[in-house]
Amino acid sequence: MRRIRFCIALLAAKCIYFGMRLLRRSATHLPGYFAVKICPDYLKYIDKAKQVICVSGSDGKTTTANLIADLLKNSGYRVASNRIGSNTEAGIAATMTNVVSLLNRCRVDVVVLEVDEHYTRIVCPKVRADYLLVTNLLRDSLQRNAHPEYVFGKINRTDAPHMKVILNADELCSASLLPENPRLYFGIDQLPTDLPQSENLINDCPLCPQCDHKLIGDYVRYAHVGHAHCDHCGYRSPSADWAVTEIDYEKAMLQVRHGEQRFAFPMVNDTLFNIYNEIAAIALLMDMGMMPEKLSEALSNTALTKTRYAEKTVNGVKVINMMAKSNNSLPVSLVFDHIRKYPGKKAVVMALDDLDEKRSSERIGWIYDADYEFLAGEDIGQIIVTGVRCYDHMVRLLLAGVMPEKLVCCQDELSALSQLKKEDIDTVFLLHDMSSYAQSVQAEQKILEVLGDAR
Amino acid sequence: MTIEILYPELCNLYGDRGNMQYLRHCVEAEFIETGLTDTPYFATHKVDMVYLGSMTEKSQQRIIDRLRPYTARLQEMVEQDVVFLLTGNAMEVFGRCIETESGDQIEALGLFDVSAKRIIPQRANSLFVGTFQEQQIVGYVSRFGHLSGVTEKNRLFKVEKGLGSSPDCPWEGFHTHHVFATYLLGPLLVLNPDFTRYLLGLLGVKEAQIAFPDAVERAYRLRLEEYRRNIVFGEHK
Repeated sequence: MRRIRFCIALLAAKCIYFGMRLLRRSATHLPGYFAVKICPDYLKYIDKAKQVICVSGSDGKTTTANLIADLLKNSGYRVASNRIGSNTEAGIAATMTNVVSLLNRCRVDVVVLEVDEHYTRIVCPKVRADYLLVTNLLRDSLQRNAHPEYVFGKINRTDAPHMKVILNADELCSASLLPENPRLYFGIDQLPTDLPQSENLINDCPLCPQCDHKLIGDYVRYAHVGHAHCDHCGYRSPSADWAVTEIDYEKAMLQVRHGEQRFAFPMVNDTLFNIYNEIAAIALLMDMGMMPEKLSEALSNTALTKTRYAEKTVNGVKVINMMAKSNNSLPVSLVFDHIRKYPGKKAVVMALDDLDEKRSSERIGWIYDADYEFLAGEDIGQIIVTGVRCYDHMVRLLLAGVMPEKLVCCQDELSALSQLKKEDIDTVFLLHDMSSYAQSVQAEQKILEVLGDAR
Repeated sequence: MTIEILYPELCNLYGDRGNMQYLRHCVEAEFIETGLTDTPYFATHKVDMVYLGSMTEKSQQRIIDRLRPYTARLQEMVEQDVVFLLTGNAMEVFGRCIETESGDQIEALGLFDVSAKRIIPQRANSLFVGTFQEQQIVGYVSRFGHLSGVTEKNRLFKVEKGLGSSPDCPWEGFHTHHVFATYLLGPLLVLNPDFTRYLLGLLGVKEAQIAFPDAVERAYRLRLEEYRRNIVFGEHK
């Protein structure tokens, strides 16, 4: 009976898919929604690829899942992923519908699924995931995710005992997930830039995950990321099985260790959080048995999705368009930190409104968790804040110690950009939310025009 | 003037640390941060204000355990009109009890005659506009619990739009003496310049001036205007 329901669901999902495609709709959710409605175990019965990889976490899961899918494709695998679809059960069901034939035969070698943190416990057992890679657990949308401890509890209820978990050894909120599962840790060894104490405002893991006593930091990279131990119970941050030992920014190479072995891989992007995403992908793909030469070649042919990071130069001024996902304070802080440490004289344009909340109003509490203080340096000559919430960002920047004369505050982004100071700038950073990428492309064009006219 | 911030390393969720960051710019005072392993400063010294912000559900138990030995002293301070500002779920710690999602009862400090009931895995999200005296208050609610026992007599805010202390409750938060306890996030003090001025007045600041008044007032007016429009205020679970 269940099989019959599944067949009806598959047929219905296929029909909806083709119908929507005829109407030029993306069909990334609805076919799966109806499939799961008809057959709640739809994902359980659908034919699986030889390898099913799930990627979850608070930040970097889209980048990492896309990177893994791209690397596999570049290495000759037939790959399917929910790159343009949603990461809930329905979105994943829609992706899987497209992967199998009408006779329920899978047509790809590997499926890479970005999975929302709330859905890992539903999706992973049903798709019989071989791997669950968790990038990290950080503060995220307070309406949905509350705090990392809550999300930890959700993922930790994933019942898939044979699934290998790939975790961040340096990020203590997620490092002790699913303790009964086979595991592999990735990380970045201690760097010369690591600190004895955090410079960030927020530390979401001040207490030992085992005994609740105060953790002692061995070194801190940012926030609670780094290595720590507990004097009371002897708990230590796990050591990474796959770790970046050295970052060569000039040659854009990563030196990587795995046991006694040493490897060199091209660096896809030089921001620390993207290096974490890359080493996570390397750990997974090498564990799957990919040859290092093949992976290295694939990495050298891979670029990050343009919505996340793009660079252009006009008249010697670099314009860097970066995503700074609003509601996620630590990733935004890391973007601010990247700007702070970027050489030369800089201007920053912030368009961080979450435009997805069109019918409602945005919660702005997260900006008090983000390190706006990193933007108070002398080498940042101008900060332009735009969008509906520009006055909230302005208050936050003033509290962070940014001099009022450096600030331009205007709701309309394009009008604000006409006030961009053209002189004495080496780099302009344009920060946008995931939902405002289209607007940021227009803004980028405007910046290029302003800078082009100036020189 | 002495302002004590209790357990800031744990009680800093949802942007609540912004309340004290803002207050530091508004008033000349000594701000004392009491960590989890410290003896509260108020236990042996006079303080003018105590602040406690949002925390995880697990941390609520930790904070109750830490503060329980000082219940009598806290009660004394309440009666002496020391200013208390409790935001987010910090308010639940001072009530009678917290009923967990599994039905267990956590005995809280018992200072106020209110009780909380967790609704996990549901999360109550709502924008909020209400009144306090003649002021309009804005903020938002995002929480795993509801509070019972709030009445017209002990309420803090009157609800105009959005979620009160529990579904269909026309009141939000708890107020007695100089205790201001609310589920509202914001940060409350940054989002509500008039309320912050009022609080500064209670702390004895004459002709209270808030920090960065132009930008704060513009953000406040813009938000109030937006909240008066027909926008979605959120789930009222």
